[in-house]
Amino acid sequence: MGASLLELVAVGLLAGSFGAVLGVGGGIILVPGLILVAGLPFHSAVAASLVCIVGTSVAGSAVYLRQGRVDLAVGVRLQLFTVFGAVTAGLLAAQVPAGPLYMAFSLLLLITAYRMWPRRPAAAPSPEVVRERRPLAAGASVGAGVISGLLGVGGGILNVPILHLLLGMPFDRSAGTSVYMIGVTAAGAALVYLARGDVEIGIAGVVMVGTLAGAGVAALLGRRLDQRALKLIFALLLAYVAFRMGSRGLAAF
Amino acid sequence: MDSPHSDRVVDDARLSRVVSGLLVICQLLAVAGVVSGLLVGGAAGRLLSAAGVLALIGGPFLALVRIGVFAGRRRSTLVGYVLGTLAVAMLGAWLAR
Repeated sequence: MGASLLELVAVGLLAGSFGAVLGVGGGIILVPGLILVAGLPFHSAVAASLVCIVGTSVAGSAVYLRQGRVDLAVGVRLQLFTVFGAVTAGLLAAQVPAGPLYMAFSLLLLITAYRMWPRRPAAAPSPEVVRERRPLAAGASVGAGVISGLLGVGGGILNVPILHLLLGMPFDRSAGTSVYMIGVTAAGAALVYLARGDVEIGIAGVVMVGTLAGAGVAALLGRRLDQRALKLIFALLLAYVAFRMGSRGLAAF
Repeated sequence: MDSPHSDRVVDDARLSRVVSGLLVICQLLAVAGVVSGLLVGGAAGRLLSAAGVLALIGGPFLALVRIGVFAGRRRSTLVGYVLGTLAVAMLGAWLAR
């Protein structure tokens, strides 16, 4: 193990707290963190990150469920599509031409970042409009799963905009539902990596303890945070991930 | 709970508490497995850590099964989504072997 236990737990704490508050898994911190701190190759970092994202989801949603911030009906329905995307991406990860895929996702994330930028709140869509948008939400959820399986992130980076922008859910409820959803998505993809023997159990286990602690505490305290500030941070995060994916896509050409 | 997305079949405070409790148990098992694995060390420690990781990964699936059982009693179409999700995840793991 190239890093001390304390360093690994710290990476987990940071990723877990950040991921639970914003409704993402924290893979954006975990993957680079595991590469830089633990010296894992990209593929192993993705595998370990997926296990830790399950930790963020389990600890965060245990709190959010008690607070009534998880829409289980929507979460369970969309989960089928995210898991399908994540498992397919996990199975095809080695065969997929990365360049064009990264570029497409990068563009999609940039548009989403623009749409998520905090402005005056729009009226919530009517139940009829929400019903009409369900197929689109299902399709976008497959995309969230593909991102999860390919990059080792939770997929929350798309789940939250799907729930908030397409289905008109308030931001804090979108984040809570997303935290619940990423658990099954990441667990599905993690099983694929685990079955292949790609997960470094020693490292993943230690980081996972950090994510459990970070996500649990952040979920308890996160309700006090300003929604507008959270949306701003989320939009900036999307733009950052879009930039990272875009550069990786360009490098792959 | 009055959002246009809500489904009263699953927007149940009791179900949320039960699922939350299940996830807490999985967390405790996961931490116990990893910490004891670190303390024991060697091959046995590695096995304990792996058991901890598996307890955690199993948590969301266990929660999904519990939701399916709850929804099933009320004849909801959600059971189909639950079974479909579990089937896709298991098929993926089987294909990856």
